[in-house]
Parts: sequence; structure tokens; C-alpha cells
Amino acid sequence: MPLNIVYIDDETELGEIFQSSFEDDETKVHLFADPEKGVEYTKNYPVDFCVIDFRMQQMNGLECREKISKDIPCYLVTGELDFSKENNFIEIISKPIDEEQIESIIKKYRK
Amino acid sequence: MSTLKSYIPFRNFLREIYYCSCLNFDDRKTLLKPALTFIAVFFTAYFAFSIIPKYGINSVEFSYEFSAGLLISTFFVISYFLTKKFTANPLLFLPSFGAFLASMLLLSAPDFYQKNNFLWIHVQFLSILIACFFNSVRCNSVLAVLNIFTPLILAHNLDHLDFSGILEMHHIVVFSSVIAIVFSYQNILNKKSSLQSLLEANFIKETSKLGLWKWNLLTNEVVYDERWCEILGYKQTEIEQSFSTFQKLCSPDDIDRVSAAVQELISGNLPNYEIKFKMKHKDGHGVDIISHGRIVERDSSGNPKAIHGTHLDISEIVELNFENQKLNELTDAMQDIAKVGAWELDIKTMKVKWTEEIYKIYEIPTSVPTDKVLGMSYYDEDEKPILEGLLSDCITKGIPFDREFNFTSEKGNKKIVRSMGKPVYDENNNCILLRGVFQDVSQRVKIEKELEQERLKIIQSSKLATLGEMAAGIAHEINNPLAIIQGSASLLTRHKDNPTKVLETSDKLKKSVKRIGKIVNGLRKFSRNSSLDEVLQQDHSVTSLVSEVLELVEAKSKRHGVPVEFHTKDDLIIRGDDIQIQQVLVNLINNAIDANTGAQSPWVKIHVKKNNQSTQILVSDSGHGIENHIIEKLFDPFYTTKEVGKGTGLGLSISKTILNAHNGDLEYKKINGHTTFILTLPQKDLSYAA
Repeated sequence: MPLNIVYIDDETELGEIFQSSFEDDETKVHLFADPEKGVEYTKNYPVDFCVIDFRMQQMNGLECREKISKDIPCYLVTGELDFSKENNFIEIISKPIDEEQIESIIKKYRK
Repeated sequence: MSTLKSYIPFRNFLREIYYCSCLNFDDRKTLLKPALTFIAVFFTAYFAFSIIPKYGINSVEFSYEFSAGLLISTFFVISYFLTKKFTANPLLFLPSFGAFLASMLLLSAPDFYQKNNFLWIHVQFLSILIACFFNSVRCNSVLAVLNIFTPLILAHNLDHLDFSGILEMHHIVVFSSVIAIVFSYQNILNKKSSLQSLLEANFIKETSKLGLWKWNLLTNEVVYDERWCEILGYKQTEIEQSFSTFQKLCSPDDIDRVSAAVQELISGNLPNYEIKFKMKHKDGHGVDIISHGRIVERDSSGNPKAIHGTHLDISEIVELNFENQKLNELTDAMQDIAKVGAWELDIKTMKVKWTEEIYKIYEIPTSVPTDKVLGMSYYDEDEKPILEGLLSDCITKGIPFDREFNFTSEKGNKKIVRSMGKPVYDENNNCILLRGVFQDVSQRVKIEKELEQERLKIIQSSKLATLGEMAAGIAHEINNPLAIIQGSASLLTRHKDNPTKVLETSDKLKKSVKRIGKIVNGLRKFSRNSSLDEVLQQDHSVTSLVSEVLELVEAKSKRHGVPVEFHTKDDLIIRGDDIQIQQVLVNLINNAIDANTGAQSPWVKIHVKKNNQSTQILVSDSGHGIENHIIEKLFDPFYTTKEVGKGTGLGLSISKTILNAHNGDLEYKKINGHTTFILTLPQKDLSYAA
């Protein structure tokens, strides 16, 4: 069973890069430019964790998190300088994304 | 109006008659005494030589005729005494009226009438004769009526009188009465010329408000006329007609001076005198008088007998002079304080008059006459033609001027002077003078410059503050493409063998770099120093200008979840400094975003509208207007509703300053129930467009 990652970001290019960087046979990245659709997906399919961009046209990352089940771990991606900790998220991933940080997270869920 | 006009000649006629009788009053009055003397002598002789020897004292003749004579004389005496006190025409009517009564007495007494039935008509003649001398036309007319009708009434009612007999004699009375009226009217006509001059004198007296006095030096009796008394608040009857009255009322400080002047006049050193002095008003306040006097009568040896003169109340003039003097002092002080001088240029002679302050500005001693000063040579070389042009336009076209010039004083001090001037015309509308003011405004200009610099600093710092507020959003905005670049870079290494992937990725790389470049460029442009002094007059497309702004605010718009929409139909052109206009827009949009963050479905919309010669950019938001008490202070500097540290309170005030410097304006309006700011900017000059 491959790892299912949901990536929610209205900036599709970033998602595509994320996808081509980390997707392989054992890891599946599901991209959503529309957070509502991403949320919808988490309700219907098994998801290991979510990566949510903070700033999006439709709603921000925090609002998006609220809509996703507490059982699904979430990571916040942001370019903001003043975010250090957010209760509902496991970790904050700051932009530009550090590849190793993501890889270590993926490793954690593969165990 | 027409009825009033037709009334005027009639009124004038009445007035002439009135003045004639009034003005002749004094002359006629003086006749009373000799007339009475004559009548007294006549009656004494008449009784002594005719009546008493003929009829005796106990006779009916004597008693009636004596009564008649006494009646006439009594009326004369009454008239004489009354006219000394009072001035009224009817008083001179009394002697003739006395004679009329006497005649009626003689007619109505049956016992006398039986003995002498003709004397009454003699006495009636006497009454008419007296009337000719003393009466005015009006009084003569009254007397004629009395003389004509009374005998007829008496004849009708009294038994001893024969009506037809009386009527027979009566035509003589009618005839003589008419003659008396004509005679008195003739008097008026004869005196027409003197009347004219009297009227004129009266007119002068009335309009100039001259008080008259006539001083008899022999008796020390002084006649003060009504006006003379009025000046001092008295009625003529309240004042004793003597020189002591003057001594009493003249100010003690002046009396010696006046006496000396009079003495000079009497001694013959002066032909007439003019002297100013103060007198005491009935109320107690001082009255300024100018008095003229001259000797009008001398005795046979040449000694003065009478001095006549005038008094004129000059209190108002003295007051005015005093006020003027104070005003002059004030003007001087004002010139000194404001460093304003006044000048006057006579166009015919080209001579210039300067007040003291101008000399001070030129730093030339006041002793130097202005025609020795080459005024132009103190101005900067390149500004001389400007001033010359202004002067000639002012003279020939009547255009007033007001301009500041660079100026170097006699002592070499650099100054900035403000020169203002305007033409003065004579009654034929020819320009005869230029008048103007000249002011040293160096101090003011210096302060203004400092202030301007201070203001520019504020604009700059508020702009930096705006940048600071935007920094967080901008960081995100740059981080996104950076993340793309980073990801792409690692993808490149991974897919180095797949040319399609490499091309695709490098395309992404280029796009991201471009995106960052655009943002950085916008920031750099925005933070550039700009000056309000010289607004860059360049044409800009509103669409591209607003689009650039949208890029700057996009980050904030996203972060706060307030979408900013831009609607425009056709691209309009505006003139001005793009950066400054963008600064205003960024400010307004930032404010709108701040105000609407967290609201239900917030939005900010930008519209562009053409309005006559200007272009309007409307920034409206989902808010429902600004509270009234805030609107009043909306554009005040340092007024803010944001929390401490969140806003400088300068945004709107600076935005307005910027737009005003562009000959535009910034207004707040509630449009369709939503908060809207309207930027008005001058449009691209149409002549260029064609």
C-alpha cells in the first residue's frame, strides 16, 4: 500500500514540483488547487497526511485544517516569516521547501 | 414722482414769500418806533389843535376819537415790545389790526356815527397805509378781508347804519386794499435780487452749518444766531446776547489766545482773523470751533464799531484728523512689522514715491531721492524682463501683478521680495498711477522651503511605513516563486536525461525568476524618492498603472482574504507622477483591505471613469461607509482609527496632498451604500492627443 499524501495549494506549479519531487512507486501525491475538493477527498479516501498551503484565494490553511478530520496529521506550508508554531499542525514547512525535511516526514510515515 | 415735481415750484413760491417776509422782518421791525412816534405826534397835534378847541374834552367826538387813537397806539406799543422778544410776522400785523379795530369802533358807535359818519373810513385808510409798511402779503390779504367784509356785516346788523350808504363808500376800501396787497407783493419783486442773494446766504448758512455772531463793540452786545447757540447745545433764548456769554463758554485754555486775536483785529494789524478753539457744550463736552471775524463798521474817526463773524463746528474734522494721525501711526507700525512698503509710480513723470520700509528693504538711506535709485538694477538679471513685462501690462492692459523676485540689496544681501501693483485711473479712465506694495518675504520663503522639505520627508517615511506593512505579504509573494525555483532545480538534476522534462522545468524557472523580478522592480520603483515640487508630468495608462498596483497589493489581498477587482472599459490616459499616484492607490487599497478583513464576503473594487477634463479612479469596498465623526477628520494628518503601531495616520492626508499637487483631488463619498474614495486626476491634454 503506497503512502497517500494530499497536497493542497492554489499555486498549481508548486504542487506539480512537489509531486514530481516526491512521488514514486511507494508514495502517491494527490494535488488539489481547490481546498474544498482536497477536504472532500480526505473524507472519502485513506490519507496518511496532508500538506496545506497557508495562503490561498478561497480560504487560508488554518481554515482548511479545521475542515479536515483531527485524525489526519497535517503540515502547513507557508512563506510567512512570523509563523513558528500552530497547534493543529504537526509541523510548519517554510517556503522555499527544504527537500530533506519532506523526505524525513515521508520516512516517518513509511515505517 | 410727477405729482411731487409739480408740487415743487408751488412750494418754492411759498418758500420765497415766507423768506421775504421773514428776512424783511428785522427791517420792518425797525420802522415800528418812528411810525409810533409819528402817530403819537400826529394824534397829539390833532387833539390839541382840532378836537379839543372845537368840541371840548367832554364831547362825544373827543372820547371816541381819543379811544381810537389810544387803541392804535397801544397796538403799536404791544407790537414793538413783542417783536423785540419774538420773531413772527403776525406781530407786525398788530398795528394795522389796531387801526382796523379803531375804525370799526368809530363805525359801530351810533352816537359818534351820527356826528361823524366818515371818520371811520379815514381810519380804515390809515390801517391800510400801516399795512403797506409792515405787513406781508398774507397779512395784507387777511386785513383786506377784514376791511371789506366787517363794515358790510356791521351795516347789515346795526340799525344806525345805512347799508347802501356804506356800500357806496365801500369800493374805495376794496380798491385800496387791493393796492396794499399789490404794494406788499411789489416789495417782494423789488427785492427779488436781494432775495436771491439772501436765499443763497441762507443756503450757505444752512448747509455749511455756520453760526453767526454780530458784536457791537460800543455796547458789548453780541447777537448770536440760532445756529451759533445750537452748536453748543443751547436754544437762542437760553443765551444772554452779550460778550460775557462767549467768555463763559470758551475754554479757559483758549480764551487768552482768542482775546489776543480779537485785539489784533481791533488794533488794525489784521484785516480779519481765523482761529480755532474749544468751547463748552451744554452737556459739558468740548466742541472744536473754527471762528472767522472781520470789522464791518467803523465810526467817523475810523475806530471799529462792530465785528461780525462766523462759528463752524469742526469737532468731527478734528476727531477725524486725530483718527487719521493714529491710523498713520498704525500704518507705519504695520509696515515695520510686516516688512511691507508701499510705492506709487506716476506714469507721466515716471517718478516713484516710496515709504520708509522700501528704503529699508533696499538698504538705502531715506535721504536718497528715489529718482537717484535705479530700482531695476537690484533684481536678478534674468528676472528684470519679467518685472518690466508685468509693469507694462499693468499700465497698458490694467492687469494687476503679484510676484516674488530674487533681489540683492544695496549692501549685497540676497533677499526674496514680493512686489504687487495695480493701476489707478483718473475720471477719464486713463491710467495715471501705479500703486503697489513691496515686501521682504525672505523669511517666509525660507520657512516655506524648510516646511516643504519636512513634508517630503514625511511622505517618504509614510511610504516606507506602507512598505513595511506590506513586507510580510511580499515575502510570501517572493517565497512562492523561490520555492518553484528550488523545486525545479532539484527536478532538473533528477530528470537530466529527459529533454522534454528539462525544457518544461527550465520554462518554469524562467517564469518564476521573472515573477520575482517584477515584484522587486515594483518595490524599488515604489520606494524611489520623489518630490512634490516638480510633479513629473508624464502620460500614463491607467490600466497599466493600476495593474502594477494590484501586483503590489496582491500579497496582502490574498493574506487577508479580501479580493481586489479591477474594472475598466477603455484605457484612459492620465498626466502626472506614476509612482506618487500608485502610492495613493496602494494606500487606499491597503486601507480598504484592512477595513474589510474578516467581513462577510469582502471585496475591493477599482473602477475608472471619465469625467469632463479629468479621469476618476474609484476605489470602493464592501464596507458601508465611514462614520460621520470620522469623515470630518478623515484627511487630517496623524488621524488614524487603526491600533497604535498599525498606521501612521498620514496615509490619507499625504494622498490628498499628492493629488492636489497634481491639480487633482481626493474625496470620500458613499456610493451605492459602499465606502468609496474618488481620485480625480487631470486627463492627458487633448491638444496633444490630436
